[in-house]
Amino acid sequence: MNKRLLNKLVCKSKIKCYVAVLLSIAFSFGTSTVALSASIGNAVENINGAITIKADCEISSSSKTFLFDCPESGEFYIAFNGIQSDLAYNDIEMKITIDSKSISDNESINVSRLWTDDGDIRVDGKGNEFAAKQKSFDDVSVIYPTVNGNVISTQLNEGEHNITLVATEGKYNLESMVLFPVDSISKYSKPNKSEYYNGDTVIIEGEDALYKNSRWLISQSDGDSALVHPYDPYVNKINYIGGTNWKKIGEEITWSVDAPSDGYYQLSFDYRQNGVVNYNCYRTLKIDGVVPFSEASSIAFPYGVNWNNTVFSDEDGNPFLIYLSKGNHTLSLTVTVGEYEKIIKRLNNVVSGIGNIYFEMTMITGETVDLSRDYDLFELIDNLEQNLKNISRELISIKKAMLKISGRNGGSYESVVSNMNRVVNEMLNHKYSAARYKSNFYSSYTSLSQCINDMQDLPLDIDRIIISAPNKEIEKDNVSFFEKSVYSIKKFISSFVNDYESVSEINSEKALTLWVGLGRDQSRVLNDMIASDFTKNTGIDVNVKMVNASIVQAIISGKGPDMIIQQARTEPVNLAMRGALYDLTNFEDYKDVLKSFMPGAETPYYYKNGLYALPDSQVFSMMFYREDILKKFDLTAPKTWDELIEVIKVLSRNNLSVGIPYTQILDNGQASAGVGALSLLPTLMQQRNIPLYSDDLISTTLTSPKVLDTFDFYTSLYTKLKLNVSISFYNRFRDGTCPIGLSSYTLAVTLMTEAPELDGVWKMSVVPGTKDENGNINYSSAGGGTGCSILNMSNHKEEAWEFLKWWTGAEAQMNYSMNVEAILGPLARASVSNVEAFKMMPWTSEQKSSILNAWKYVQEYPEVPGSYQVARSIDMAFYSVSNSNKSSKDMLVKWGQEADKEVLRMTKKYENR
Amino acid sequence: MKTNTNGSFKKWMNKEGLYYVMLFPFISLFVLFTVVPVLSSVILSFTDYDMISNPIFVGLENYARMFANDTILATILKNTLTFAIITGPLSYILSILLAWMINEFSSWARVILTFMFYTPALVGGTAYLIWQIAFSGDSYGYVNSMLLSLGLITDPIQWFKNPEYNMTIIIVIQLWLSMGVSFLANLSGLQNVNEEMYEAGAIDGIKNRWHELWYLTLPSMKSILLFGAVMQIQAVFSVGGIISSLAGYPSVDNSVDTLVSYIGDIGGSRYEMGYAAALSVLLFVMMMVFRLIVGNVLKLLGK
Repeated sequence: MNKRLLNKLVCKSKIKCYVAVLLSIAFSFGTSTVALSASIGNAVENINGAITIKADCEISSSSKTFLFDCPESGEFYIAFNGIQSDLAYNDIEMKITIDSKSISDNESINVSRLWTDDGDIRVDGKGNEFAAKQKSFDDVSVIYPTVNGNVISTQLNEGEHNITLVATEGKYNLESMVLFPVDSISKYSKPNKSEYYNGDTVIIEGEDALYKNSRWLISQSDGDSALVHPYDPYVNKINYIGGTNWKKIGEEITWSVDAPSDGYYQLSFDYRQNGVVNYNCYRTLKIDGVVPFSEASSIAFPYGVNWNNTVFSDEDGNPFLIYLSKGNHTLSLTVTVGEYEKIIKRLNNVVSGIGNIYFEMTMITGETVDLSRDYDLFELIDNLEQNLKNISRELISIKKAMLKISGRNGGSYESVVSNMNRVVNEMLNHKYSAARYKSNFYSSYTSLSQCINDMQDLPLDIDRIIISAPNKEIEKDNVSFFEKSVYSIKKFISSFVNDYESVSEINSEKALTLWVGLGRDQSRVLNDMIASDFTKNTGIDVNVKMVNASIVQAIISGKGPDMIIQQARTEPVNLAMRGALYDLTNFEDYKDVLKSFMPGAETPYYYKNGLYALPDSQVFSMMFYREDILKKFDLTAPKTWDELIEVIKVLSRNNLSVGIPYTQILDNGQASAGVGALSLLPTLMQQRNIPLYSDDLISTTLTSPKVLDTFDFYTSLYTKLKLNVSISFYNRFRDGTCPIGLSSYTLAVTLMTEAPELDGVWKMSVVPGTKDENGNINYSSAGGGTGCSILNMSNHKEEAWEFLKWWTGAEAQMNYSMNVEAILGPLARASVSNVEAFKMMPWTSEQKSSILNAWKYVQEYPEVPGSYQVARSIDMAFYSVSNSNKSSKDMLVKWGQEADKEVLRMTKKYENR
Repeated sequence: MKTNTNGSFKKWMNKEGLYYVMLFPFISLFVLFTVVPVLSSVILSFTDYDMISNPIFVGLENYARMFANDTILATILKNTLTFAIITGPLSYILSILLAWMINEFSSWARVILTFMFYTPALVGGTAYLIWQIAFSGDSYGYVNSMLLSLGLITDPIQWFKNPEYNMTIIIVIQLWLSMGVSFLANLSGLQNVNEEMYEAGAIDGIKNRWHELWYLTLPSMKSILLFGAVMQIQAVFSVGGIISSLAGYPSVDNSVDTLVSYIGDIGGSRYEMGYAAALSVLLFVMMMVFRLIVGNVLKLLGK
């Protein structure tokens, strides 16, 4: 438990630190009094038993080693004193080894940047408040490096050691390192009544945080309740901090507290925990960067639908009192799993055992179990019975432990565990037909993994922190029923009056109009970015409107926007051929702008030698593979398609598969994503250097012999090698039954966040290539993406061009993606088109180099009038082959001719416009 | 003589004019929102209009393309007519029979049963999504999992993506959905039949319930039946949204695409409003033809 107690030690150089005396007293006497007194300077170094290692140098990708002497063996925490990095946004990533052994099992060590509000809360024209932008908080001297949010500690024996530091990302300057002993933070002891504080209550508003260690822990607004402070039924007021961005272990918010006089204070919180039903969320409390006593290492915040108040107290209701001397202090709350820690560890073990069993089952039965066969699983799989019995026993015991914590029956986590137990018992009771339970087994297993993930998400909202005299009744604002009703009525009336459509309040003639079809959160983000960055620097106002109409309707009515962003791939040419878009080659600097994308990224947006859109996102496929499973079969990641086919053969013999899913066009909108995004055929054609259209762009090459061969090869993957046409590659990759596959590179984010058990076991690389006659491998692949354009009917084309340049610039692209990610989670990360923006985003350095490597091979096909029919034809041909087993070449010829007809017809129609 | 015109106008006004005044709001909206769009469709069908530039008059080119140059249209017409001919009469007869049977019950049972059968249509046409789960293509769809556990199949069947099955399934779903307005209308028509006729019929030699239905009940309901028929034709030809959401557009091999979804595609995704207008004129003509046929069939009732 000790490891989790100190998550971050922070010392403002000018603030008196209480750490040294606390720790030294606790360490040397091992007593339980918590007496804090002043101590200036770097408190960590003054801890009894601390070892200071002076660095005073720059650490970069070349490693630096330091020698030190350890006087007494024990377990030590590591802290950095005075660390400054050169990276703009990212945390510092490094590796630390002591005596050539990694202290973190080779996992990357992270040193978080700290962030604070840049200025005051921003207010828009109608009085709605928005959180301030975040800026780096540099006034810090001591920081703990962490692994996955947990502070690192290491065992050291007496004697000489050396410690080596290497930076995997960026460079930083380090003053010194301090290693100090892990102390048992003592237990709470009740102080004398005479030392109680008895003055006025001090209230700290949650949204006024001093700093936080994640850029996305911003203050929020809840307009639905009259119980929050402050509240207003007509406008959004910033009134709390936390929310779904404050849920991962290690995330921490720190407030500044001014204690009026010396004494012991009672601590209570106005909070809301409505994220985890019927369970508690936990936080570690630190005063001035130190956990005051062991009970403060996990404060429970129970579930409740509404805002509530909780006093920090023990089970009997006696409040735990915190000593504060007169003056300024910091108070921090850090996310911790609290009492769930052991359960999560046990569940992780159980789940990996279950996963192994499932994998072995699949190797025997294949994906679909044949019901007329007895598989004899208990004979073929070693120790299956014993393992299942152990798993069942462990699950029952875990369930008991969970009940003890939550104290309530029937929480969702317990039912997931029960379900898994039930399936395991069914299998044990039906030994001969156990294989039939395989799909049940699988779904319970995935639910259990999901449950482990969910248990580590502990969101909490803090409205106010209240320190007061102990046992004093806090004047609760008992909001009466009458007040609540009045509030609701006011809000209802305001919904008729408020203008929800325009996100900004700009009415000037010179303002640009931008239509977005995004949600309110994303539109707000966009508007913020524009107001604080674009408008500030160029002086051009932009009126952002959330509109759910198509551009065509806008043009008919004559009331359209000046520019549009994030259009589907085929749209720019579609609109350009009808004369709706403005040719961007009219601007002299367009060639410079194109340099910020990968070469050729703008190819789909040319029409008749005019450029009608800039790419604002670009996505492409990469190959994902599981090294652990491939190793079992002595396979390496294939580099060419021939090698991949060999891999498929080996895997199919063991009832495993390869995931090359195919995207069927299911509705009218999907064809507009462009050919490259939908199937693998364009990629294969690129690798064989076959263009998709004839040189004059009036017909496709789909009926030519080379393409027919390529299509034949492509469909044979599904018809002869029996790959699955529609699977959830992510799920199959996770459970191991599809250890290799192709997917859009954004799957990496999903794997990083949702499948932590696979960390270090999966890799991504460029798609398999095709060898040409000279033996060179062509790794090209086709892509998809969106574009942004200027409309012809705009009267402000020059200003609109400025906007497009800003929008596709590195800052804006990165900011938009990260801001949306902050609201919607990492899965909302955008596949930016600007290469610089991509480099600034929080991918690990290994992922960054793989993706950049694959990205430079991406080749785009042009778009032509009628290209939707090309996508549809490929889709139709593919389906006829895979569903009805028709000949692939016949089908492609038939549908290719349709596509040719359509392209010719549309091109001729728009030739003269 | 000259005062007479004034007087007769007032008389006319008091007698019949009042009815016209009461009809006026409806007529004006009807003309504005139904007749005018239909007329403008006909006019647009002679143009080429892509919504961004002005319409260009092209004469009969759209119709030429429709009949001579459109390969998919043949499949689509075939699908539409299949739906119309199978679903239309079946659903119509079913709703009459159902209304007839429910009419037998006491009033409370009638209310409950009516509610049960009318609910799918009541929910605004989104209830069919239940069928999507039932016939889902993965092994967890109800039908698939049942068949898999019974051992009848080994791989889950892609119901909506397989041209062999999807037509049948969609016909069934359409039948289920179509217990709509015409069912209620039939029920009310049945209730308004003159009771004395049954007594007279019993005396005059009606042999069984079936005779009674054919010779007495249905002829008295002729106007309601005609109304039901018109509604049915309209409903059956406008099956489009359901198909797109269940089987995707375009469905595999265009196997279940109907005229309405095709028009939606041409107009909505390809922006060829002129051709879409021509197709909708075609649809209109088809529906008029069917209406005439049905009207003549209904005249045969009771003969």
